[in-house]
Amino acid sequence: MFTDRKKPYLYLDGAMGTQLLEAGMPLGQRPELLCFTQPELVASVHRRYIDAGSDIIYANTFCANGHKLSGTGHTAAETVALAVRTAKEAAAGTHVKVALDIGPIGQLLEPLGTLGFQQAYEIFSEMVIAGAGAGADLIAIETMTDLGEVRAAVLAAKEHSNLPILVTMTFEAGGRTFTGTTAAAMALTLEGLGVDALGVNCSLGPADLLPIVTELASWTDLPLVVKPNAGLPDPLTGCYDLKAADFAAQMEAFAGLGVTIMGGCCGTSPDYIAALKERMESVIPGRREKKRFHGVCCAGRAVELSGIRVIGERINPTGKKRFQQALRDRDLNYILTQAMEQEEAGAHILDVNVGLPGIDEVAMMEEVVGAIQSIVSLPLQIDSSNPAAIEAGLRRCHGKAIVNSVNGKQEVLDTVLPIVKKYGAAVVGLTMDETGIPQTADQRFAIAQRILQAALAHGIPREDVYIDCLTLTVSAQQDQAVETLKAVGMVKEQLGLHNVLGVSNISFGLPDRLRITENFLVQAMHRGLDLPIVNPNQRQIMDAIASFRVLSGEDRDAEEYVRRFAQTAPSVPAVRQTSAMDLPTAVMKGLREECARQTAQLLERMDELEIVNGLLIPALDQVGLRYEKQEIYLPQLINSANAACAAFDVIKQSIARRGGASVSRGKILLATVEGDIHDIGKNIVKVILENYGYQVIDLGRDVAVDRVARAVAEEKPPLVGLSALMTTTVESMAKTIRAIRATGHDCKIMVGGAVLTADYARQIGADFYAKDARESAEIAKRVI
Amino acid sequence: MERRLTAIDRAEALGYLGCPGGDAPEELRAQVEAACDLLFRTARPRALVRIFERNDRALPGTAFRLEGEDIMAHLSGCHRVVVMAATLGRETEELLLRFQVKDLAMAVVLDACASAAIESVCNDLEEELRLGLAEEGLCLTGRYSPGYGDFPLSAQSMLCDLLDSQRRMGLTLTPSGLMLPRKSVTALLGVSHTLSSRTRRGCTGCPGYDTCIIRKGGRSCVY
Repeated sequence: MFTDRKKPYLYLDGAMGTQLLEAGMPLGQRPELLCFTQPELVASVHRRYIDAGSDIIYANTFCANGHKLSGTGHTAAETVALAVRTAKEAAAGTHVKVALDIGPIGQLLEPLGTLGFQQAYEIFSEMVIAGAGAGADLIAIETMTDLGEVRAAVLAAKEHSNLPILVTMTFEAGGRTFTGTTAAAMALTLEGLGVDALGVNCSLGPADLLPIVTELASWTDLPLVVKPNAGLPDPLTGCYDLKAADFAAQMEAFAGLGVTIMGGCCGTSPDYIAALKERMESVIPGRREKKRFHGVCCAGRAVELSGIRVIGERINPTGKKRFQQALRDRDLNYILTQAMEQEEAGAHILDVNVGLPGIDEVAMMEEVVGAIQSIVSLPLQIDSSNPAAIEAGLRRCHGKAIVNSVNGKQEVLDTVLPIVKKYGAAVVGLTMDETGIPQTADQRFAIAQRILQAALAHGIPREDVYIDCLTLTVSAQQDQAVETLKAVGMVKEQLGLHNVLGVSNISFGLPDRLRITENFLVQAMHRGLDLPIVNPNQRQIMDAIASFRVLSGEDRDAEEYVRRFAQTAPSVPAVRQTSAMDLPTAVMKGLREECARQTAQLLERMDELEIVNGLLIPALDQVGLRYEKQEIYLPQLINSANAACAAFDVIKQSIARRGGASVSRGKILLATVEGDIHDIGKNIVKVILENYGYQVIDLGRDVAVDRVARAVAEEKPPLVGLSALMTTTVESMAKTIRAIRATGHDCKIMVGGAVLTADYARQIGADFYAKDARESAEIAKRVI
Repeated sequence: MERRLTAIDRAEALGYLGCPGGDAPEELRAQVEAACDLLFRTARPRALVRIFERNDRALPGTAFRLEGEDIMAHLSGCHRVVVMAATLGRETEELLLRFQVKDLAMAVVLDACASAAIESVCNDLEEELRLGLAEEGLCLTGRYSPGYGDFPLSAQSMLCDLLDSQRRMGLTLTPSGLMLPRKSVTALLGVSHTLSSRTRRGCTGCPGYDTCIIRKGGRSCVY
């Protein structure tokens, strides 16, 4: 539909809303409802666009979604169907195609917002089913700012219709959407998902959109769409400043980029489309250059694959007791800390592996991928051997991810490659198969070739196939190191594919492992390894990579190298008055490292409980008292709690080492109630309670009523804490309390939050009102 | 439209942290300074403004109606209404989220400073509008937001629609009426020919007295 060679350009329509407002629709009314009340008005706008020369018109369905229409008495399905039929009738007897127009739902998606991905998908599905049923010829997803929301809409469109899909997003002049999506990320992700055309609409006038469309063109080979506003609106009156002829003149520049699909957005009218068409008739479209870049991305960052790109390996429970514990406790904060540390250490991509016996890997993958995306702006590598977990991770990953991994086994290729293709991911192929890991480079290379052929056969582009030639432990199989390096070279030279390699394994079992690991890494990079999977927190490893990038010419003028090393003056250890400092003082001063150090020393002569009950708890009590007296304030209270946390970590490790019973004083379940996203207070309570030795199960924010009830029934905590900040969400707190009581589990409930009072807490059936975090600890002491 | 963050009232931020007055410990002051530094580097405030004629409770040409007595009192004598929305943007939202994971103590300080920062953005905008209107011989009231007095929080959604705030600056509402990004404000201001001499009612007469977050921050919504 979008590459009709007989016609150089396809013309879309212009604004619908602007036209309806001019015809007298009051601002703030849902334009979609006019299909019920004034269908002739809507049809007349369509006809004027057709007369002006539009080849594709958008049905009046922009906001005809279940969320925006709730309370209007009309369903999305009937509204969409009617609007599409209205447009079809207007276009009857012409060549003009009708697009089901899908705009943003009007709510921000998780993790920044509260609308779930699945809910968004269902809202869009209702529109798609109705639109396709009413005879829409294509689906136009437009004015989107959130790549996650676009993905929900595209998946709904693909899974409920066979219609062509055109997607345009709305950018600010800085080159990002309001939610931070970049043009490159949009192109990579949507080309992967298999849309038919993509581009920009709304936001700015044509001239200001030019740099953004130029960027898009360098990341995709799909047909490009441009549907700008009529310039900028007057802030006070809402009128746009570009006249039709000027608009058309500015649009001419897009032809040079090879843009072939054009229309108008806010402020444009049929006159603009007529002027555009007249102007473009004499303009020969420029030759579309092939895209210049390829790579992977998250919504906020595209990582071009040219040169060394570091994949961080730390989000993985294998051999890490603390990480395993975090997975069992659903301690997302710990996992997020690992993600942030790696980002700050310079990782370009994060490997995410949450496979652990006894853990629901599918649910955990979905949750962890969602959480990481809210905090860290790095592309992800979904690492699992479970196809369901891979799909769950990919579905939730708002960008172009990497799947780690497939191998040469036919069954694995047949199962996993279709998932990779569907979500437009890249894939890592391990050079092993039914017979195990081959002993020679030639055999591994042969498997790499087979994997490549299978991927191509599934429609996965060559550039998205990465090969892992497998690192074996040199202390066990010494001859294999050379074979791995040789295979890496063959993959690079003969197949031209990217090489992935987890290098740390090489040195297992040897003393001073980093020496071997670093040396192997450098040799492998010389052979063609460009996607090393490493621990980016190991400075020596990252230093080696920084040096390599200078020698390979990738780090032009050694700019990054200089930045990295120029400032590393010999470090002067921070002056600490350690002589006089004891553990309670370190807690009170909020010194984390000092607390951990002191605790480790104390453990040589005291047992764990003595330290907890004799030193830590009294110190925390003292801090609490000073907080009460307003000698210190909330940030200091939290700093002390965090410092005590470091001490507790050392104690927990010590207990785990000798297999002793935990020091937990009992379970407390915490949640910020449904509809509320302000959870900073709840997080403070969590830290304080943990430091008094309670095991806190943190359900997070915006937690559905039944989820809290279910967790209470399963975990049976003696105390539950609920928080809500806004008056609008206190009602959902009351509902949550009723649901907890209905489980029949006998527990006490404490509530807190800015708008609550002791009176109100009683009214809604809570047992305690905690005015601050300090008081929640007092309540816990009384209850447990 | 894009705005600049020109100032953050430290005393206001300290008030949100439960430390009103000038007796904040040095350590806390330093943290507030560090947080302000971060916000000045991160925040990308945006704002939208539109002026509508007013006819009693109606804004002609729109589907909006003013509800409640307090907003009517606020707008008494005003023939026009300014609808405004301002946000610190998603950059600040992300900063707050990151620090909740990375350093909770700093997150608390940042949260307080960000609340003071969005007020400052609104103050700047309001002052600009006031100066502009004064050239035409017109006066402007202070800001009045949904949730103040008996002006219902549900009005928020219509104000966002009037400004097309999602499309034009990325400001959305959750079903429970919370604004996202969180550090955002919507408000109405009245335009009149003469400066009204309304009496300040003070907080004690307000139905929201017990639970008011503005009051907890040591401020008042009544001008």
